[in-house]
Amino acid sequence: MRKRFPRLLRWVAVGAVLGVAALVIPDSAVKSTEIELVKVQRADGVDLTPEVVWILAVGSDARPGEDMTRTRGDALQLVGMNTRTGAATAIGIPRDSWVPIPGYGSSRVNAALAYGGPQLLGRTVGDLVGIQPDYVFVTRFPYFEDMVNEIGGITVHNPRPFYDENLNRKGFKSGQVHLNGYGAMAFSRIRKSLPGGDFDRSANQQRVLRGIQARVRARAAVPGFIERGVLSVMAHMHTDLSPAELFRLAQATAHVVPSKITSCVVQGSIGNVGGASVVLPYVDQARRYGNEARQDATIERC
Amino acid sequence: MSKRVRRGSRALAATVGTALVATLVLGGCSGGDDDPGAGPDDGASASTDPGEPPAVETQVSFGKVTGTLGRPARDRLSTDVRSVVDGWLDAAYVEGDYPRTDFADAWPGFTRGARAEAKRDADLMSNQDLGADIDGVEPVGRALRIDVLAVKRKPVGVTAHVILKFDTTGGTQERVKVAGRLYLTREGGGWQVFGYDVTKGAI
Repeated sequence: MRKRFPRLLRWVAVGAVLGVAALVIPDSAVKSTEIELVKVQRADGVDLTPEVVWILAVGSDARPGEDMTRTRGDALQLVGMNTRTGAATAIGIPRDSWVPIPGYGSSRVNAALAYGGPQLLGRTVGDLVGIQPDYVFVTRFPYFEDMVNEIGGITVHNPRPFYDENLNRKGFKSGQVHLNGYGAMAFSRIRKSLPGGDFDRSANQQRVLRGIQARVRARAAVPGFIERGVLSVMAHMHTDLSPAELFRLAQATAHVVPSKITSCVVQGSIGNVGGASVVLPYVDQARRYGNEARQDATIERC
Repeated sequence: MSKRVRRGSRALAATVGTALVATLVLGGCSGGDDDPGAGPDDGASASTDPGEPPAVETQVSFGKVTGTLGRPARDRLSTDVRSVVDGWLDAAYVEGDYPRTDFADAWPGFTRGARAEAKRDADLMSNQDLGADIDGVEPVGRALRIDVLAVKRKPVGVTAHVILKFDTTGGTQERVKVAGRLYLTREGGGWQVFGYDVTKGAI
C-alpha cells in the first residue's frame, strides 16, 4: 500500500482531536403506511497508513512572542490511534521526567523541545516509550483555549476537587465538569494542589483529551464540522501537513470509539539532580506500555 | 419484514428525487458559506429509450462549503464526486446480474485500504447480504449532498452525504435504504473514497 503518511516526524499544532462520527440518517423521503421498525446495520472505516498512527501531543509553555516549537513542552501525551479497530490510547509523560535527550545528555524531557524542536522531542519521548511518533503536534495554551471554545467546550469527569490560586481560585468540583477553553487549559495545567503532582496532572490532561474526543464525536456528523475543524487547526498551528492530509487525519480521529480509549501515565520516583527536583521515570513501565500498545493502540492495564 | 414493492414511474421517480433533495437540504444544510447562489445541481435528465423504465438520477446538492470555492470549481467537483459515488452505488447495489454473489468489484473509486475495509463490511457496503436471494434491484431514489473543505479556492476534502433507496425483487421483496457519509480526497489525480460511515436497512 502506498504510504500516504510517511513515517517521518512532522509537526503541527494540535487540537488533539479524537472522536467518532455518529451517523445522522436523513429522514426518509418515502412515506409508507406500513412502517416497520427494522434493525439498521452500520459500518464505518477509514483508510490511513499506518493503521496504528502515533501522535505526540505537546502543549508548549511559550509566552507571547516566543516560538512555541522552541520552548519547553509542558504537556506531553503520546496518543495512538488504531484506524482499523477504532481503539486509541494515551501514554502520559510527566513533564519533569529526567531522560536521555539524543545529542544533549540527560535533562528534563520537556527541554528537548527547546533544544531541538518537535522532532527531537518526538525522538526523545519515542526512545523512552519505544514508539516513535508519526506526528508531533505542538500548540500553545491560548490556541488550545481557542480550539476548545470553537467546539463549544468539553465535559470531563473529575475524580477529585482541586483548585489553584493563580489559574482557578474557585476550583473544579468533582464529578462531571463542563469546561470552556480557559477551564480546559487550567484543568490541564494545575499541578501543585494535586496529591500526585505531575502524575495527576498528566492524568487530567488525558481526561481533557477524552472530553475533546467526546465533543468531536457528538458533533462530527454536523455538516461542515470536521471541515471547519481542519481550518481551525491550520489557523492555530504550525504545520507542514497538507490540508488534505489534515482532513484525512481529522476524519480518522473522528472514528475512534470512546469505549475503546485507554490511558496510562508513566510513573516514577522523585529524584534530585543538581539541586533540582525531577521525576525519575520507570523506564520498564514506559516500555511495557509501548510494547502493549504498539500494534493495536490498546493498554489493558496500567 | 418483506414490504410491498412499489414500481417506479417517471413521476414517482421525480417526486422521490425532489423529496430526497429537499430532505437533504432541510436536514442540515443551508447552502455554502461563501456562495449562497450555489444551489442544487439539477443533474442531467435521464436518457431512456421508450418503453424502458426511467433511470433514477442522483440528485446532487452542496451542503457546507468551508472556505471559498467558485462556481466553476463547484461544477467540476460536483461532476467528479458524483461520478465516484455513482460508481460505488451502481457497482455495489444497483447493477450486476442478480441473483448475484460476486461483489469483489463493488468499490471502484475507493482507496486500497478503504476497499479492504469495505470488503470486511460487504454486507452493508454492498448487496452481499441480499444478492443471492433476489433477482433484481430497482432504485427508487438516490441523492448526494457535498460538504467541502476548500483551501486557496481549491477543494481538498469532501464529505459526501449519500442516500440510496431501492426495491428488491425475487425471493426477498423489500425497500432498502443505504445512507451515510463517504470521505474523499484527491488521490493520484482523481477523487477517491478513503473512509465511510454508512447504514443499511429495510424500511
